[in-house]
Amino acid sequence: MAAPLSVQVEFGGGAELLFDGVKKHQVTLPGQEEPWDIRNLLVWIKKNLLKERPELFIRGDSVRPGILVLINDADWELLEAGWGQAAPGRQDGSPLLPPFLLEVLGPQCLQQLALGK
Amino acid sequence: MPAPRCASCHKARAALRRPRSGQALCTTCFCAAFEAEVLHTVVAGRLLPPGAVVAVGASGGKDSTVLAHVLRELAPRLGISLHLVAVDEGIGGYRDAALAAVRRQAARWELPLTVVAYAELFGGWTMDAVARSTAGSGRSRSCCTFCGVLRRRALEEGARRVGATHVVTGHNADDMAETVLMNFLRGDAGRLARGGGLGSPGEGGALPRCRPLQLASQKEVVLYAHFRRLDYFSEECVYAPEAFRGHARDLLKLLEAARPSAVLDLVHSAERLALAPAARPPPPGACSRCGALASRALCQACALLEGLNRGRPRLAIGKGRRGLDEEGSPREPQPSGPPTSEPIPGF
Repeated sequence: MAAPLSVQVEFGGGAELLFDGVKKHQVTLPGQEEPWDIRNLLVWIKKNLLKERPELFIRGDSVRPGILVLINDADWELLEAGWGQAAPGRQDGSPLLPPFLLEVLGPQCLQQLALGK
Repeated sequence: MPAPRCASCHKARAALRRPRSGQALCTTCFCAAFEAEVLHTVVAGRLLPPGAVVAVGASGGKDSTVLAHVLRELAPRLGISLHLVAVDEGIGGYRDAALAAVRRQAARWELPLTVVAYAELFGGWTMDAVARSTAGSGRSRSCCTFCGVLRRRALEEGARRVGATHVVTGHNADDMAETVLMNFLRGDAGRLARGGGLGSPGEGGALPRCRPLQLASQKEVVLYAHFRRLDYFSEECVYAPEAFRGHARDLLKLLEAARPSAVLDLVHSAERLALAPAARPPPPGACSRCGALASRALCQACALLEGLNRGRPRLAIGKGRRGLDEEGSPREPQPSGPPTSEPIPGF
């Protein structure tokens, strides 16, 4: 059983284009049965924040290759448990503590397909 | 599940794992390593000698922003001076916002900025006009073919105007690897041969050109810009197509997920390629119109502009370029297979 969780989500590097150009979102995730982790957080983002072209954000079970995800300013790939298992905020082994910042960077391809550097 | 400590300073918490080595580094050590590697690329390749006046192709995007920022940090050590050159392709709305970002950067970094416009250089042909001209041809992405070629020419011209001795662009390892893949998939031996190596020495009177970020993976460029809180512009070009490069990029990303060093390995492989004698392109000559390097009578830029001015914009697109007879009257172009309408990188 997971209590409601307050999360700040920021999009940059082109990702904001998929979210109506809005870069910063302060969201409160509702309480639910399963604990909140990255996988269901991203699904929630796709359902509730994403405005267009989901295929540019999510591919299968994960983000589209080329998109970078940072949790509290660190690459999510660093978290030992990795995708689908890491719980937000649990980087030091301590309980979930706000503020929790999720940043999504890219997909750069939107810009790069065009005119280059 | 704690994040590991930085493998370099052992003090701060690590922020990322470097794709090539798998080493976990904090933001400070990563940024220092990134800058040191760019320095090494430039010094080891003797790309920018002391006294060089360097024209930096500045689009306002993340790569050229990182390039300019790092070169500015390294400039005193390298003994070079920098000049930002921005190209205005004449795309309403999009380019204005990008140029605004470049102007902010020039002011913040106190670097001189020169803007070169397609309209001025190419007889009034802005990308908006080119897009209208090519629109009727039924394949919208052919306008990107023009832009890549013309932008390279415009950058060259801007560099000359500021008295530059060298031109640098922000292409990163991912760009290079994508281009290698694309050239393989298209069977373009000529481009494969020319594309390897760290820089173009500047044949045919062109300024020497190099890509100091060539060995930096795109992910690291994005993270460097993020950790340094650099102000750059990321928006979709209105003409951004579903180009072939996108497929090459998707393939590359999948490969990278399986083997993180794949991107750089691809770039290094291309550098070491030797073409079979039958595949080697003939030595290029000079364009009969402008004198630039050309493998045919007209260089690509002049050929494309010729097509535009004759009202037949598709004339110079495609492998054969038949029908572009510069002394005779225009013949009907033979169908020469699918036109190469992907955006051509400024190699």
